[in-house]
Amino acid sequence: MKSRSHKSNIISVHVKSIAVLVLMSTWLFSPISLLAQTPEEKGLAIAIEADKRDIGWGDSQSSMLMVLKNKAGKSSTREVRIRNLEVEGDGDKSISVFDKPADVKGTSFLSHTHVSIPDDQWLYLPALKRVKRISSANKSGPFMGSEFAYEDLSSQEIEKYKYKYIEDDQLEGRATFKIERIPTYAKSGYTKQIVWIDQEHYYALKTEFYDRKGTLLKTLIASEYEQYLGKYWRPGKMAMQNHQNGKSTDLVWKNYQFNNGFTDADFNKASLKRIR
Amino acid sequence: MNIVLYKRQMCWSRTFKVSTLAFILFSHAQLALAEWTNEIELEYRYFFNEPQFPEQNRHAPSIVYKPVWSHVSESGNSVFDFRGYARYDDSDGQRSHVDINELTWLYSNNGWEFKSGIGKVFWGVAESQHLVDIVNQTDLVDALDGETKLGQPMFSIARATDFGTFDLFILPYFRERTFPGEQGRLRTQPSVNTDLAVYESEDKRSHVDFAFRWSHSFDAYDVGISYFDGTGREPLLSISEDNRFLIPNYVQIKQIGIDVQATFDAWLWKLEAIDRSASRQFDAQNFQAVVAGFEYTFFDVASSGIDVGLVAEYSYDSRGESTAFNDYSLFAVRLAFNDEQSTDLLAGCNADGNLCAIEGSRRLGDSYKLSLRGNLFSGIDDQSIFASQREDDYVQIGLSYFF
Repeated sequence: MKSRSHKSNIISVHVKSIAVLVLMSTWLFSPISLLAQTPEEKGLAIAIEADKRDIGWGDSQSSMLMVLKNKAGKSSTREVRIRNLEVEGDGDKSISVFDKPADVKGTSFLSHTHVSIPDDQWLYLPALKRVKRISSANKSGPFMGSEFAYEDLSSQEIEKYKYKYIEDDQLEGRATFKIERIPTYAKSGYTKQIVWIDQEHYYALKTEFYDRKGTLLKTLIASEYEQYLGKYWRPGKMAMQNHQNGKSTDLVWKNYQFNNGFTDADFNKASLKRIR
Repeated sequence: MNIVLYKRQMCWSRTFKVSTLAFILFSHAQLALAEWTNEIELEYRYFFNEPQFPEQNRHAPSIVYKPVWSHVSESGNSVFDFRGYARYDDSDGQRSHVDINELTWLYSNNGWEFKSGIGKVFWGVAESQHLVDIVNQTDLVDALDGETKLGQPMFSIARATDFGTFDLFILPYFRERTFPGEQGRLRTQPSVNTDLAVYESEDKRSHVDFAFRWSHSFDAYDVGISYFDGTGREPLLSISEDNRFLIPNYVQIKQIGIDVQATFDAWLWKLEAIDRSASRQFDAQNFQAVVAGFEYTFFDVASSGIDVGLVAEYSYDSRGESTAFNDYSLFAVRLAFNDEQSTDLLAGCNADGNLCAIEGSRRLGDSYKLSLRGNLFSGIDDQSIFASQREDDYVQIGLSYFF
C-alpha cells in the first residue's frame, strides 16, 4: 500500500469504501445470511428489515370498509376514512372519520402514537361538538365490535415485541420467514403471535394470535398487496378469523393515496373538529 | 296552547326561509362531497307517579327530527355545516320546538380558522355538569341533564400555534334558555314563563357578547383557559307579581374558566373551575364553582371485551344550598360492551342516593338505534330545590331511524 502511487491510493480508498458500503448494505438488506446467529437475533433482524423498508412514505389516506360476520354468516359493515402521517423518530399520527353506521357518522378519532410512552388519543363527537381525550390503555378490547383488537390496528413499532425466528416456510407459493413475536407492552391480550413474513418484500402474509391461556384465538390473512410510490406495500384486504367464537372481520382498503402534503397541523385537535 | 302553536308555526316558516336560503347558497358550491343524514326519533316518556300538579301528564310521547348536512369545498378550505332540530311533544307545548343547531361556514388556511353562522362550541372535561361551557345556551326541555344546547349566532377566529390554540368569539345575538311549560313535568313550581324574560342590558337579546379561549395539549395534559363577557346563559329566577310564574332574569356577567384533564393510563383526572361576577344588584351571579373528579376504566374485563368505567366527581358552588351543584357528588358506572351493536350503559347517583339517573343505547341493524333514559328521585323533602320534581321519576325509551 505504502509503495503505491497517489492515484492508486485514491483507488484503494475507493475500493475500501465500496467494500465497507457493500458490507453495510449486505448487513442492511440481508441481515439474516451474514450476521444473525441465534433465532432471537435473526427474528429481530427480520423485523428491523421489514420496518426499514417502510421508512419514508410520508403521508397517506385511504378508505376502509369493515365487514363483520357472525357465526351464522350475517354481516354488518362500517366505513372509515383514514389519514396517516409518518413521524420520524416516533410513532405515526392518524385521523379516522367514521361514515357508517349512520348513528356514529362524523365521529372522528385522532391518535398520536409513540414508541416509548403511551399513545395520545382524542375522540370527537360531532353532535355535541365535544373533543374528548381518551385513555389509550385499551389494547386487547375489540375495535368497534369487530374481531380486531385495538392492538392489532395500532402502529407496529419494533420495540413492542420480542422476536424469535422459527423456520423458513412456504405459504400460498411464497417463500416466508416464520417468526414468533411476544408483546412486551402492558395489557396485551396475547401471549404470542406467529407471523409469516414474505421473504422478498418483507410484509406479513399471515398472523396467528394466541390468547392469554396460550390457545390459538385468531388468524389474520393479509392479501392483495399493492406497491405504492414504487416502494411501499399495502394490503388490499385483511381477513381476521376468530377460531373461538366463529366470528370474522374483513378489512377492505381502497383509494390509497400518498403525497397528500399533510403536516402536523392536519393532526391536531383543531383539525379533528374540522375534518368531515 | 293556541298561542304556543302559532309561535311554532312562525318558527317553522322562518326556519324554512333560512334553510332555503342556505341551500341556495350552498348549492353554488360543488355538491360532490355534500351529504345528508337524517335522524327521526320516536320517544316515549312514562312517569311512574301521579303528577304533583293537575296540568301534568303521566305519558309524554314525542317525536324529534334531526337533519344533518355537510359539505367540504374542493380545496378543503371551506366547510359548510347544517344541523337542524325539530321536536313535537304531545304533552307539553313548550317542549315542541325548532332549532337550528348549526348553520355555519368555516374557512381554514395556514393555521387560521374563520367561522360564521349559527354554531355550537363545547368547552370542558367534566361529566356531572358543564361549568366552563358557556357559549351555547342549554336546551333544558330536550334533556334535563343540560347536555343539549341551542345554536348560537357567532363569528369566530381561531389560530392554532405550537403553544396552543387561541379562539375569539363575537356573539351578536342571545338565545334564551328553554324551560318545561306548565303541562310539562320535571319543572319548577311555579313554572318558568319564558315570555316574561327580563334583561339587565337595554340591548336585551341583541347585546353583543365576547368569549375568548386558549387551549393546549402537552404530554398527558389537556388544558383550557376561557373568558366570557356578556349576557349570562344561566338566568336568575324571580317570581311574577301575581305569583303564577317564575321570570327568567338575564344579567351581564364576566366569567373566567379553567379546565384541565390529565390522562394517565386508564385514569382520567378532571377539573373545571369558574369565577363569575355580576353587578352588585345581582349578587346571586357573583360566585365561584368547581367540579373535580376522575374516571377509571377497567378495559376488556376478563377478556370479555366489556369495559367498566368508574366515574366520581365532586362539585362545590359558593352560592351554597340554593344551587343543585353545591357539595354535590356523583358516582357512576359506565359499561361499554364493545359489541357489534355498540351497546352502552351509564348509571349513577348522587352521594345521598336521592337522585339517580340511567342512560343507555344499542344499535339495531345498521339504521336503527334504541335508547333508554331514566331518572329516579327519592327522599326529597319540601325544602329541596328538587321538591317540584320529586314525583317525576320516569323512564324514557327512544327509537331512532337514520336515513
